[in-house]
Amino acid sequence: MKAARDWGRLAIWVSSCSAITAVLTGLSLIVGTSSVETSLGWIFSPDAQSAVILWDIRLPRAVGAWFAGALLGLSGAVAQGVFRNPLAEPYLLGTASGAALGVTISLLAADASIGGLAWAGKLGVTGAACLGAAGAIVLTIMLARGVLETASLLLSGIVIAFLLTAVTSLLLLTKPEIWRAMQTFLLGSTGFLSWSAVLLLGGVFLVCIIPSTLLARGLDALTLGEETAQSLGLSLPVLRLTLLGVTALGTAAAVGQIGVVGFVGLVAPHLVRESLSVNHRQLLIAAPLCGGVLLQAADVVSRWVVRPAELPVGAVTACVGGTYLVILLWRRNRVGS
Amino acid sequence: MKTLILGGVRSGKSRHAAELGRAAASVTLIATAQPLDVEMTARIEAHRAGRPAHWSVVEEPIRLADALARAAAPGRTVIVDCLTLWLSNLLGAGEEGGLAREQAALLECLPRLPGDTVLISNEVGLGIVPANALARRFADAAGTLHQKLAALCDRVVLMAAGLPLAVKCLPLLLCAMLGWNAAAHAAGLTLHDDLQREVTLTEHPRRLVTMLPSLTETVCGLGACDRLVATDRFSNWPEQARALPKAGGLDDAAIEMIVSVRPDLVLLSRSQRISDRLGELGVRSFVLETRTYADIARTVTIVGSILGLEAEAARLNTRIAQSVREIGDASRARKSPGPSVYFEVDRGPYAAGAASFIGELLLRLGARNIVTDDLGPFPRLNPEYVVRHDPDVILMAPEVPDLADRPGWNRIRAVREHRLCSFDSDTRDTIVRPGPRVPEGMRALADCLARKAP
Amino acid sequence: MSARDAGVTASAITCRNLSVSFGRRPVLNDVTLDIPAGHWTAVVGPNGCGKSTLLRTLAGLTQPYTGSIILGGKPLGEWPRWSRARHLAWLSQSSGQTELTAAEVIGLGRVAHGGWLARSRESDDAAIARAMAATGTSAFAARRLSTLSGGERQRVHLARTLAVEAPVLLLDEPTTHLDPPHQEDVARLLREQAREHGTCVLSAIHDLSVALAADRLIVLGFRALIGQGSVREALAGDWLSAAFQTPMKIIDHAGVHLWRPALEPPSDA
Repeated sequence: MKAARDWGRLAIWVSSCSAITAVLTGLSLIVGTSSVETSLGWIFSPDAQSAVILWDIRLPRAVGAWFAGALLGLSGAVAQGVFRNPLAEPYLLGTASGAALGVTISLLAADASIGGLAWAGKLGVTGAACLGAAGAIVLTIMLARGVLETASLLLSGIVIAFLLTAVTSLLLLTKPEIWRAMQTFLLGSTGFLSWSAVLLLGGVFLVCIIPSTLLARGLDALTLGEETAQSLGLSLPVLRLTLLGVTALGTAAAVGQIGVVGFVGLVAPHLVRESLSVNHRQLLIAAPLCGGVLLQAADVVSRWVVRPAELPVGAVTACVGGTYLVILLWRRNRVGS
Repeated sequence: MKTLILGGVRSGKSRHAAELGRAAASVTLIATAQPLDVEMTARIEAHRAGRPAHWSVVEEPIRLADALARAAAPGRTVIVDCLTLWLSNLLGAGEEGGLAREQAALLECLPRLPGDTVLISNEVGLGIVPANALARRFADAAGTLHQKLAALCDRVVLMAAGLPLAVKCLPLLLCAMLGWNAAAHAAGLTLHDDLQREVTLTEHPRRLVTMLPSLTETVCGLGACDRLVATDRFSNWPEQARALPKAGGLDDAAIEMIVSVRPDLVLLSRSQRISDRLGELGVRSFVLETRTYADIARTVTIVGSILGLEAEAARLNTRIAQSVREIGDASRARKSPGPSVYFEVDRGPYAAGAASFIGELLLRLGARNIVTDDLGPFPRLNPEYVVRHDPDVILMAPEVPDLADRPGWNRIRAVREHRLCSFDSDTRDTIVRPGPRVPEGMRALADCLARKAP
Repeated sequence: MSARDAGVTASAITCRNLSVSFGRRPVLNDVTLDIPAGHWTAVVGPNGCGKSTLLRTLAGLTQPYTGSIILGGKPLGEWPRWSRARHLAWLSQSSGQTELTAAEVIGLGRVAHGGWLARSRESDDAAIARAMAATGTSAFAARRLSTLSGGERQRVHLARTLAVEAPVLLLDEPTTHLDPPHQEDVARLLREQAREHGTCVLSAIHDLSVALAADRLIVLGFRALIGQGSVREALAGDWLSAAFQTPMKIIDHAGVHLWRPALEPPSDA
């Protein structure tokens, strides 16, 4: 009966997230460089140009933002579970720095047509970001000599992030013109999400969510301690590798498409835990929904506030996420004292 | 500072006044024109279109002294355009005492006004004495007023063919900055740089370090390349500058390197915050910020006075202005109305708006920038903005190979019809560097528009 | 019951010449043990003598060792992961912070029976119900573990190990955080578990009075085994004084053995 109540609350959570998503998607259609009245007019009597703006620009943007947010929420929840640390986030393994380096190299190559780097230019920003993120994770795991030691994994992640950031900065110093393009990437951008990006993000989301929810009990066991989990029959390396693979894939795909958008992966699981008593199976369903809603909302805000110009979506999520964490800390301190 | 600008019809008075007002935090224009007939209305409209959008405008045909007293404030430049119309308004009003009263009020309040005041008036007394009595009275009144005002003003400029001629100039240092006066040759040249620091030079520097490509190019454009002993890492033009020692970049200036070449003066950009450190080490520096097209001439003039090359600076400025005008005229003549354009400086997408330096060049080429100046110089756009405004031509600083893959962009006319230009890095340098090579950059833009515009 | 009747020879776990080191620091040195089924065996010894390490090593966790460990007649290393997890349940001395409910934690004891993916079956539910009943945890089954008191939490973890229904229970300090009545409950529970289910119960226990209620004692000194055998043997050989390197006074109160501290009574008593 108790389990039933929990799943009931999850059902409420899922349905309210879906409702908010529907509303936000609707808002996404009418918020843009044109006035709301104009956009509404387009919906009811579209011409060739407005149809493109509505269905090929605004809609994929909304759906893509949702999937990217969902991937970040899922990756964050999984990372927090694997590292048994509520402050873990998807970029912990050096993903963001690796992606940034990849983008820098690709921009340099596209710009200067340096012989050996021509391939990086062809790869495009998206591919380079993805490759960079994946490369950073591989480096981190190699430096930590496997996935068994949480502390060395975390430390390696930090070290690799620092190293790759340093290389990125050095490259940027030689070519400051690409700084602005870099900044776009580092602050996140949902502007260029197309239907093919949505397909990719959606596919990756499916690939990630299935193993994650299947291994949810493993994450539950892990909360009791690594040795306890092992004594329960769990193979730590298999679980860790699979789940870190999920985090890596999810983060790399999201970063590749929308750049480094912070705080969604950190905050989404927290928001879920605030309102639901959850085991991991429920968390891994709810956190992506929450992440999707967060990023969709941030996307709408980013293009509404200074329209027709645009705020970096990562700056919006950082503002919202940072505020939320401050409130959380403040409340916790007050309870403590 | 009070300035009186005199000149014939379409001699560039208003434009010169606008340049004087550019440095001010705010500018108020007192327009004396009364839109009484259609031709006048059209003229006023033309003037309004040529004015920066952030100017505030007050219309006052008669009570000029009151309007001046209300508008003047510290840090603000008040421009009166123009006294001629005001005089004729007064004469036309038919009230005899009115003219004397308003003139007296103006002469009385002018010296006490805070901030800068720029008075524009037509020099009407140059032709033969008019036969018409009213016209004679008008010419007399204007001439007398000009004399009285000239006595009160710090500067009097006579405009001829768009060029300012200093008739009266006080104090010397500002005149030197404006390149009007050879007095700068006197020992002890004192200038204010763009950090508002007072820099005094006892003699013209022989050993110079430039820390920005546009400054390097300006120095070399004045024929003083051989005075350079080091430059920043990105200064790659002309060939002579390329071979010089490189003292770091924009954010990583190599102070030790700069000190070791023992320069007399270091020319810096505003974003390089090393002038204090250099000062501690006994190295004199001068900060120059060149943002707009008008700043180019200003920078050339200042660098000219610093180097003691005022004549060269004037020649260089004339050459630049002439080339820019020719290229602009040729381009405008070819296509009318000009094509609508979108200039992408970076993926983001960041655009070069009408308010940017590149935007100014495009405007002079007759192109209509889809990114209006109210969006700021380099706004980051919502990509659908470009799709909606459907530009005729897209210019890109670095080529964006996947432009057509952006959602919805394959519908943009410029993309559909391959009206796209990108520029190699050498050409890009000439477009983005506000220096003496700006005509080259402008020519590249003009070529693009000539080839690609529909 | 049968294991108990067969006597001490029916070993659930045997280890021969077991040595464990952390880096270059030896923790256990040449320990040979026979731990019988159907008995509750308590491991006692001073702090840092390697009680926890012994239990962890026997549970097949962590560190490499030399010597041999035989679990249920088969070398420990040859047990497949899942069957070992069904055969041997381990309770750690400290458990991580978890947001799970008590029922969910106890349910994790059944993971080895159905794998990660399977949903719980009736047999699982029955085992969980038995474990809850035995530990008195049903009352707060729906509450999050983080909201429970230290004692309640300890009983939940104990219930989770019982829910495995494994023939071998390795418990590291199961009575810590418990008040005296609950310590007594746990001691009774362990004794019953051994006697009625024939389980091999091996627990490291800090509190000597609780440990002396066990069937058998393994007494560890620093780096060496002092002895193993019944409580009577241990007392006769004065193993405790040897282990703690100080005279340990044990009093026999109608068959119940109690440790009496050599502390003077308070002066105003």
